[in-house]
Amino acid sequence: MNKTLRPRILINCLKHWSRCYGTEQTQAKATAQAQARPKKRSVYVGLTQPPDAQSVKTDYIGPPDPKSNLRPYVRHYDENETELANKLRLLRIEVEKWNMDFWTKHNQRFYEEKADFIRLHKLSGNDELSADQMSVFYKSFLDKNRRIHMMYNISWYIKNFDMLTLAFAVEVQQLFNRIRKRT
Amino acid sequence: MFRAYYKISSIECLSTHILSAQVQFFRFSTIARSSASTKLQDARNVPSSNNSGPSSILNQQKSENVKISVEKCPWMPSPYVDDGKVFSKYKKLSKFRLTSLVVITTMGGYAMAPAAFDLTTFAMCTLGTGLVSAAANAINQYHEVPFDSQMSRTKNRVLVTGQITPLKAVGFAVVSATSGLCLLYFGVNGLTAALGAGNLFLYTSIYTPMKRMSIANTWIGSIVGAIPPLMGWAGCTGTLDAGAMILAGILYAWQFPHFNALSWNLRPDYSRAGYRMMAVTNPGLCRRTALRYAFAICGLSMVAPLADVTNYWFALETLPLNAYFCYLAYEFKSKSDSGSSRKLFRFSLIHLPALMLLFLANKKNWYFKDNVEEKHVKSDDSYVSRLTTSPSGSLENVLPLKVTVGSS
Repeated sequence: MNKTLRPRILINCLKHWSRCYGTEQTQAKATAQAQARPKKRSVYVGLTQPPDAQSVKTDYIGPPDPKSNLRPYVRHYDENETELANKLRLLRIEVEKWNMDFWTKHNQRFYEEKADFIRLHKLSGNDELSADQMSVFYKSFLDKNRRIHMMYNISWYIKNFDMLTLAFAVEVQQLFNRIRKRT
Repeated sequence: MFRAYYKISSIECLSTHILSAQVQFFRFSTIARSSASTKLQDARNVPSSNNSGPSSILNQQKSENVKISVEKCPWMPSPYVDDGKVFSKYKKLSKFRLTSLVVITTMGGYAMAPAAFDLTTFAMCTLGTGLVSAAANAINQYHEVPFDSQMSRTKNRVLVTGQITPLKAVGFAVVSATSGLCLLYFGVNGLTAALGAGNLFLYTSIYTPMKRMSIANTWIGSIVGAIPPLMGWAGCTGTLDAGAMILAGILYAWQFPHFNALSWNLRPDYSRAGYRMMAVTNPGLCRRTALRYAFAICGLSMVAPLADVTNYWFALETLPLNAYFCYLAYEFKSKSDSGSSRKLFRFSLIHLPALMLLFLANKKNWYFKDNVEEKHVKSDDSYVSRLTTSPSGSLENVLPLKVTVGSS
């Protein structure tokens, strides 16, 4: 402790040397400079790590998942949440999990098949693949996955609509509760 | 303590309150992180010291020139609006720039119609169309959240990043569509409202699902783009005739070079997200269609003077504009690389407003003699009948029945 204190005192003395021996002019310039240069202060919004569901007051959304490109949600858990709100939260968690599963598998299939296509093409002699040649792969991928895409589409529309109606019901319920509390 | 914080966070317009809320947020978030398993009672010990913190920063803010920079961490609260920019979020939701282009085409359709220009009807027509278009775009974004997150062009949309909840987005769409359609029905006429409602249905319920089913979606989407000038035309005259069809036809044809050039560079993204576009499934057809419809625009511009929409100078003036457009489409067809497609897309964004302006500049009749003749006839009748000509114009639009006074 004592070892660090002495150099610190010395440095502090040296720092304020100009103040002891300086003229009024330099003092004024220093304060003017400090006032002219705006102090930068950063305020952080959000969190760096996914929060625990019980410890937050609102839902949180995170950075996109590298495999499925979807953003994960953390749905907050309130101790006195109503039945409807509970249903909504569980439905949202289930749909998000289903979505993420689908897209992870789908994107993995896409990249694997694309790598296979490029490898096969390189084996047959040609080095560079033009965009038109890649289009053959894109078309075949779309054709192969047509039925899967249709099924996913219908399921997604239905689930999205379910989430919407439930969210609307929860909002209406919360509005009624707020009105009831005031009266 | 959290209830007080919640009250602070609900005030969005005052930046100082936002600042204190954000600072408290950060401090509470650190508490949340450190004591994740314990109850919230521990947090009550800290706020007493925290109360001095935000207020001290507030005091400092008032005395010094403090530059606040808001840093966003990876995990953000889900419905989040920064610093009261609520309006700009909804603008992004409604695809404001696309909506304004649609509104410009409607204004062009209104101005080109061979009937008298009424400022209130014009304003209601454009505002109504803008609102309906905003609603359609919001519903489209609501439906396509997982697909938009796959593509790099659309992954920063407000619903994908969770800044607006889906319920609020659909609520905005419903309010916007209702008010837009009411404006069109009560402020303009029934035909415009019907066209608006039909366009909304076509875009949200037919075009959006079809994007993932077959490449015919581009043709349906072009119809969606061609209807707004028809709405403007119907808003002015109340009927649709050959001239309206020519204007709509030019806009229908314009959609093809515009969209094909846009989608050309996004083929890998479209394929992975599962969209069925010509650029992905049939690139040859994509390039040929762009060129064919560029020629169709040329042809329709030549025909416009014959249908009494414009004077004959129009055909001469649009020739260089359309010729350059056809040249760019030909370059796109022969080279078909990212450079030529980008040039074609960018020029199409200039080509459409320029064409609209030329339409306006070469309009066939600016003044209509029918009204003057009516006035000459009616001046022989009683004083009452002459008075009713001017207010009845706007009253007719509001009342559901035709206002006629006196016998003629």
